Amino acid sequence: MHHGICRIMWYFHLRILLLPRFNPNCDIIRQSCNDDGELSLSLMQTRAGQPRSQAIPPIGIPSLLLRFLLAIPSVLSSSFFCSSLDLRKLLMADAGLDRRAQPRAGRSWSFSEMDYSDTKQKSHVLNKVFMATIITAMCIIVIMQTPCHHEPNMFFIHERGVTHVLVTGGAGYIGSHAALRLLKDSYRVTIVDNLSRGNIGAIKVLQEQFPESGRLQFIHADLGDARVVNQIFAKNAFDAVMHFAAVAYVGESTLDPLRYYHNITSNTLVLLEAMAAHGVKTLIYSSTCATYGEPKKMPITELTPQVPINPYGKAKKMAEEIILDFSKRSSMAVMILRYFNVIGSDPGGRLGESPRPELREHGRISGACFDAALGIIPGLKVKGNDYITPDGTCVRDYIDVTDLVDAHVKALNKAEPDKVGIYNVGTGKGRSVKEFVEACKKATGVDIKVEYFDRRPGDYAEVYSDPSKINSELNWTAQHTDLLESLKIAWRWQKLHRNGYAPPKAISLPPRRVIPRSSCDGKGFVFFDAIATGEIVRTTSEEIVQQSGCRVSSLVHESNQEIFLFVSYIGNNLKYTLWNFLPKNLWEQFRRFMNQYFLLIACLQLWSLITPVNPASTWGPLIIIFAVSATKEAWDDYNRYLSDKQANEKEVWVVKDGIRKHIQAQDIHVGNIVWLRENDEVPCDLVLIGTSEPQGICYVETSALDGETDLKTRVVPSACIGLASEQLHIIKGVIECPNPDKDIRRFDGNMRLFPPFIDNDLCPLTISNTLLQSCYLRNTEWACGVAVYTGNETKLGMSRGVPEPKLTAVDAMIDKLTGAIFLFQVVVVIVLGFAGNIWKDTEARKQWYVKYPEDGPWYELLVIPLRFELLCSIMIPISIKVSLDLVKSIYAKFIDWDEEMYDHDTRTPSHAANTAISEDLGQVEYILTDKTGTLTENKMIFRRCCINGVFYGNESGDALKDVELLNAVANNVADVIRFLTIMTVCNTVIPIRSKSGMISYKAQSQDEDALVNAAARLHMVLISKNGSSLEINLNGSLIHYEILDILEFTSDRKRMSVVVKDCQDGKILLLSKGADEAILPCAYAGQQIRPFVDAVEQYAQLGLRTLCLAWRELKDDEYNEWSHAFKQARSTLVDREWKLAEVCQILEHDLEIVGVTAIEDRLQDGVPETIETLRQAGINFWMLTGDKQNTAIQIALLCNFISSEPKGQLLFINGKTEDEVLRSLERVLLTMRITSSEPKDLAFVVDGWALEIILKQYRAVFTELAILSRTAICCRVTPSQKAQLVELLKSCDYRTLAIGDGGNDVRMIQQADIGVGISGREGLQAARAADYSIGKFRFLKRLILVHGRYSYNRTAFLSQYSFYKSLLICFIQIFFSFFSGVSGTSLFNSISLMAYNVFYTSIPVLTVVLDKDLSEKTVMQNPQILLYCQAGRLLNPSTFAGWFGRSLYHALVVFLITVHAYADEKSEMEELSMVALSGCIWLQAFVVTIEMNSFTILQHLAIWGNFAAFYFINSVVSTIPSAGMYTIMFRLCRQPSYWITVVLIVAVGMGPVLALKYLRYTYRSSAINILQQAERSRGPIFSVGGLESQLKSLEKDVASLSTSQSKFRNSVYEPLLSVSDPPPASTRSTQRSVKF
Amino acid sequence: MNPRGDSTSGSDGAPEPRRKSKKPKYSRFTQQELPACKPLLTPAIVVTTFAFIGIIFIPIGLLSLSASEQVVEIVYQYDTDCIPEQLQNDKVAFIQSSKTNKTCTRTLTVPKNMEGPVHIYYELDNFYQNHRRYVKSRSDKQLRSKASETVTTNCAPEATTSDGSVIVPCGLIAWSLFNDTYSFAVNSKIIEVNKKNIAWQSDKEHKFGSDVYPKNFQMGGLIGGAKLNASIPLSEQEDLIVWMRTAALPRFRKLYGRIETNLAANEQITVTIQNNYNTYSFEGKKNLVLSTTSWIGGKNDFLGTAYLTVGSLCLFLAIGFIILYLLKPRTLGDPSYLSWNRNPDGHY
Repeated sequence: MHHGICRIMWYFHLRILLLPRFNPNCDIIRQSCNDDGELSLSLMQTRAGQPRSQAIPPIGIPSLLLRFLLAIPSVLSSSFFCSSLDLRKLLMADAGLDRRAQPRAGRSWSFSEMDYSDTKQKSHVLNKVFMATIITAMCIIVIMQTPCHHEPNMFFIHERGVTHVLVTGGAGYIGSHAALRLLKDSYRVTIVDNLSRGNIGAIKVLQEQFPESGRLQFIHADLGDARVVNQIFAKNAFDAVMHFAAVAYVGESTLDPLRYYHNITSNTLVLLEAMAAHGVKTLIYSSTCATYGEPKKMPITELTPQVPINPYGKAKKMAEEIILDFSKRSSMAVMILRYFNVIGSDPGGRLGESPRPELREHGRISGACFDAALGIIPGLKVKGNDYITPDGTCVRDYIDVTDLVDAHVKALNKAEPDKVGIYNVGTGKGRSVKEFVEACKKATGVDIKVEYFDRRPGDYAEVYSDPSKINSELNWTAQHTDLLESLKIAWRWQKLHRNGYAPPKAISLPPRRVIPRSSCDGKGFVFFDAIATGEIVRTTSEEIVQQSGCRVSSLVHESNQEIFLFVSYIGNNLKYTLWNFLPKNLWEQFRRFMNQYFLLIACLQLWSLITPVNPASTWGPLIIIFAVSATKEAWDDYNRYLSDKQANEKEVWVVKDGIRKHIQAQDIHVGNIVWLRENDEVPCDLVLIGTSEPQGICYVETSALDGETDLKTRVVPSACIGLASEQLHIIKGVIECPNPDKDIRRFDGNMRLFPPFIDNDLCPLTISNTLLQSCYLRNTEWACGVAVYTGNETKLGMSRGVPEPKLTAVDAMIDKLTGAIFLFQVVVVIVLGFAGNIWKDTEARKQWYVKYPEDGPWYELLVIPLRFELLCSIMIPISIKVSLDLVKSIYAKFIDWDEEMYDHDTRTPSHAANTAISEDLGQVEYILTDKTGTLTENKMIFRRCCINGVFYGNESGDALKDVELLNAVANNVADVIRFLTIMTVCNTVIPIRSKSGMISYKAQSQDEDALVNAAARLHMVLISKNGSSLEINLNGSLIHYEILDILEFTSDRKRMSVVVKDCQDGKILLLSKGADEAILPCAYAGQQIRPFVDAVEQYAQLGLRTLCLAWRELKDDEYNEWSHAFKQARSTLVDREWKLAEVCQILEHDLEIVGVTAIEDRLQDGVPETIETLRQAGINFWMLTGDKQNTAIQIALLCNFISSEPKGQLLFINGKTEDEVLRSLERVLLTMRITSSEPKDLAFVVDGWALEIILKQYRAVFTELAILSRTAICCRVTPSQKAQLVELLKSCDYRTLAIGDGGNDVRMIQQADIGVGISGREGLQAARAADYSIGKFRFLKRLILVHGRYSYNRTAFLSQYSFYKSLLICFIQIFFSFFSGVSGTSLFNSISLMAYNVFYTSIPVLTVVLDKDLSEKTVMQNPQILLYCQAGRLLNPSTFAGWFGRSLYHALVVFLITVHAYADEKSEMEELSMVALSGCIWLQAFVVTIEMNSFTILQHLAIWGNFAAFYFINSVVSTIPSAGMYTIMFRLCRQPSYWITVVLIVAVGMGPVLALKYLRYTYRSSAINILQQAERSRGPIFSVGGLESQLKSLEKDVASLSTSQSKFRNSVYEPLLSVSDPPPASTRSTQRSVKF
Repeated sequence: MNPRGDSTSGSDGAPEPRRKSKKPKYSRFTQQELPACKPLLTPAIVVTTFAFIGIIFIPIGLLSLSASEQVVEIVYQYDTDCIPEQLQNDKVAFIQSSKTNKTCTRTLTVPKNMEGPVHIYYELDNFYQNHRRYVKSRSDKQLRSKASETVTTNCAPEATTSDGSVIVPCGLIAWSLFNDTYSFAVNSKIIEVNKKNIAWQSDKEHKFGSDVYPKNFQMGGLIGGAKLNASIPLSEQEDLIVWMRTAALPRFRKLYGRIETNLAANEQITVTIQNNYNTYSFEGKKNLVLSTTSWIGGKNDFLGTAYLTVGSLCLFLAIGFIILYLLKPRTLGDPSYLSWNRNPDGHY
């Protein structure tokens, strides 16, 4: 409602706009509304460049003020009304259904006289009133504030001898000619026109002809607007009114009668009121002979009874009657002129007839002839050649426009107060259409093609008038009316003005409207104007509000120029620019805690007092690590830059200045009109405004956007239908569009065209009116559209955003461990700090050579702890993040590269979109899977059907081969035909006929495709669908339908319907199809729905998908009424979907159910095996599907999801009320608890309804159940319920994986720890949102067991190793500090420390990405091994403790051996430190070696190459004289004792590790070890136990858990060095180990 | 301007490129199928490894030990010895007084034949040359060249004299230069002590400049250790160079000089010690060490002992593993050990 107001406001302003002057020498009043809605009135007069300003005298202020005060209550009440009622009520009110909700305030004083029954208009009225009051108020304020020069305006004063005529509709054909004549005759003319049918070009011509001041003024206003009309009369002193303004097409009037009554009758009334109010005493009314209807007698005289037969005539007659009635009680001089077909144009060639292009078909015959002659239309359509006339065609009285205006002027001159004159203006001689056409051919010299059609309703055979009265009373005769001559003159003009009046160069945009802040959030406006150059203009409401505050309004005020905001397009996906790269990247990196920590350390190191080493040792790695990350970012950005550049420099056609130009895509501005040719890629998001297809449709391929390979139809919005391509070069308008978002299925906008195009209708836009970026135009010669979103704001651009980072369990563990290490570090620092300070105060005072100062600075106590902090900072490995990022991106690459996960059918490789969470794949505990398209192929085949209780296809399993059905079709059995008709018609399928005549179907849903194809095979063939008309071939006969409305399918409605008109009998039908629970409740009372329920049941048992088909016949008025509501709902911006559903519901009732279809959806290859394997791996499966319970259970049985009865048991949770559900839930839970020890497959089944209650009320109970149950089937769940279930499992601390293929799985996929999308038939939506996309469900096995497991193992090792090596060197430093007076001396020099972290210890371990503990085959055969990953047994505090202990031990070994071997005379600092470092390097190489399971060439290279690198780097450093290490390495290498020491370190360090590992490996083998041994000693092994026992044992594992224990992995760590048995411990192995 | 006009050129976005196969290219690396050796910790391999280590280590240990045994070493702790009885209670006063006679003469007996060159070391204990304040307090640049004479960044508190002029060599290390001296005589015949080439050649050539002369050294109020002859360049002040090679441990030996001649067994060596250096304030020990060297360095039994221990442990382990294996044979890779293959009955 609110934005409705804002929209209308705009509209309102449009009407009262006065166009700027086209000629500097003419005076016009310029009224403009600036953004504040102030109506600023100013008069500018310039003569010969001399500016002289004038202003309107502030008359009317008291009255305006009064009205303003009066308006306040109405404003208040209407705004209250808008905000307080809920949407539902508003909708009802809008639709006029809840009449009580009609606000009293809406019936305000200005419109109370006018009561017509268009409910839609009523809300307009309300809005208009609202706006009018505001504007009036604004006017008052402005007028009061504006210092005015009180010079009178010529139009405002009555001047003696000058008659001031108001010509309404003066921009139209007759009006402009009349104005020209009046001006020639020295009248003063004011033209009022809303330009809905008139041409601004005509005004321009007139202004050029009569530039003198005081001659002509033009006011752009709508006569329907009483306020404005009153203002116009208040500001001008008219002597007479010549009322031409009217819509005037008979054909159109029958289609849109309300518009005609409004425009003709009601506007005349408004005008008359204004005249009465302001004392204008003369009215010349231009009426029509159509008011006579079909007179019995020819010729028509003024006395012929008026019996109009069409709304046009009736409206005119009513207007006449109003005038006549009024004139009886007033002294008004009234002249009514009735005439027919006007031809010809200004003999001077200045003016002509130029109807709006889209109205040509309604237009008069002369226009049609000329169009045909110009080639705009192929030929002339003459409707009816069987009239009782000489040549069979209609006979009409034609009159030349010059004569007509002459009659008007004469009438004006003869008009006398209190006198009414009614005259027929005609020649008295009829001319047949044939004659006319012949004359036309002669005049144009073109042989116009003429086609004859049936009669048009509302046309009568012969009409001509008797002009004797006008002849005698006004002394008027037709002087110029000669058919041929008139046509020649007109043709001359037409030839010179092919496009009508040439588009004026500088039509200004109307000033922007005021937008109430609250109502316009989330929307923007796109102004487009094909003529003007590059004004833009997409702004958000904020901008408008912001700017309208003062800046814009003052600009408008001062310069009277329009404000164009420029939004430049640069398709820019770049994260950085050249300038902001460094700061922005650094900022991003420093947002991580770890990096902040390192930066702090590095900064502390700059304080030389406390730094134990050169700051370079921290800064170096820090910079290197930052540089690596930054380079990666830069590289990504550079690639983005390249692809952007390619896209941005693509050439596109854009309309500018009314001409099409070739420009680069990056120069497209919002509001530009872009032309596309067939197979062009759409460069930005467009709103379609024209295509080459006459029905205004075009086809696009959207596969780049959503992966759907079928062609989609896009439709030109209704406002633009029928525009010729020339007109698209001058089109102007405004599009109201939502702020950019990434929803590629929604676009709720509105469009309004500016004059000269229709501007009365606000045209709703949906996604089907758009062409989105990166789609391709297909099967359409050309299409053009208005750019609404460009650059990064396109739907595609918005969806490209960086996904929220997901944290893996491993990451969380590493963070935890880092935290622990940090605490440990703090403890160490505090202890050593204390010790250091104590030592300093006791011992160091005695060490005279240290020369401790007596009293140090205040911070002295801090110095030593801080020094130790720096020394220990390496405990937290700076390189871990980089190493992990690096290996993780390699894991992801391995997934991308994997040949075995390449889908040959769809030719898609697997893809890891999220590179950071591969380890989590190995830790999955729950898989939540969608059914359709994920487990099944989503390849639908029509199998069976049940029509009115008769089952077809039950024997053969294929209804298409069922003879009975074929016979029924051949015999035209009504039910069957109806059934097939619904199958064929009720869909959105597009038939495409290939060149060979074959018809193929492009469908958006697989079900529809199956249905249409099946129907085609049953001889009901959908042949073509052109716009709204649809052709069906049934057994060789053609049937036509007209599609009136489509009630689209949504997942909430679960049904779709179409409203069609049977072109044979004109009946309007509602055809519906949908899920049984969505259709069956809509059956008419009394229908037996039992058979259909049974059929659905039966089919579901077979695992088939069912749809119910139904229909109903609609009554015309029922449909019409509903259609209005529907139209309105469609054009709402907020909650459109909901409102539409609401409206659709109104129609979908009392349906007759026709039958049920059953479609088979085949299981994908390898699904049962995959599920079985993964279940063996201890992964629990939940199936979440929107399908019916029975179908879901059948599919679940088929794919090993659950076992059938003796082995398995299904527990149902159902119920409709809370109590029932709770009881059912508790029963299931009890069963689950009791039987959990039995070897039985238990699964619970719950449906969406019960689930809704459960999730709201009994979450805790359900959570317990969820933990107990390994399998669950949730049917009929909505996307949000899917996501909720994921969340529930996540909240129990389970790792969840969600897999799905459709848009309805996206939320689940995003919610889960890992989202996997199947890039299948339902498009790429799921795959795009997912972390991993795979082609087939069965790849999941490999993804988890191979990639996930390896990734977890590798990361577990890598991360713990990183800590190990950091701790190792740190412990050595700590030990050394006990030998150096706890003073914080670093044993190692800066270079060594830096290189140790960055090179020596980082590179060898990276080869862990190639490590495989078990071969892929072994893992696949023994999926149970995944348990190790799931339980986190390779990375947890206890394994970490093992590594911690190892590093402590190794540090001790290295340090003690070094200090003993290098004691006494060898204890030189540099040498000793290098020996210790060598020891570390050697040890770590052997640690990597012993922990690595498989050695490829790369591992060898890395490990042994690292040695070489170590010695090489140190040798190089040893040759630098200034280095502390000068010659050290050479000296050491020459010493035998060095080598002996290093070997000793290795032996002592590794010996126990090897021994322990061996003992464990042999006598306490973990499952991994056993499989390793088996695999390598005897090749691949097969599990001995059968599947059953395995499942049982797994059941046991689960069963042994108490329900209170939410997570079993907490208790089952397998520490690396500890000697505990790997759980799940078995008695047997425990006993053995005890013996050992 | 006709949209049809350019339709041929506009068809370049044709569907063909979409058909391009996105199939990943095969390589052994991308498929993670690089040939790999997967060593197993089979008993054979492990036992062999340990046995091998044992077999290698024991001889090396024996060699090292014997080398260490061959080294003849005389260690004489003189810090308390060289203080007159009456001053034993106030050693610091003795050493700090400039009046006391610090010369002390003692006789050492050569236990075994010592082949020249015999290295003379002084050994300090509880002396923290690795203390952070101390170890930093030097200026390598100043030592290296005259040009950077004023670079005394880390030298505080011995960077400049009280009047601000630069001390060369600056810093605590140089300032605390060891200043005890030794002279040796056998049977009243003075033994030449070669004090040349006691420092590392590389230090003399590259770390200590031949144009850098001591300046303002030991001129301050507090005198730490030895003074330097200001006319001799630093590159030839070998005692200083040796001292400046800081020790990593609080007990260290530094080369004092060499006796090039052989010392026969049971020879009585008279040592005249100038006991100048103050180790008494921090209870440090001072030893005079005379020692020969072997290929493994000075006398150090650690490596030999360690090797022998480790070697025998490894052998022991190897044997242990064999015995264990024989006692408890275990088939490797028996899938029946897999937890999920076990009979569920045995679960409890």
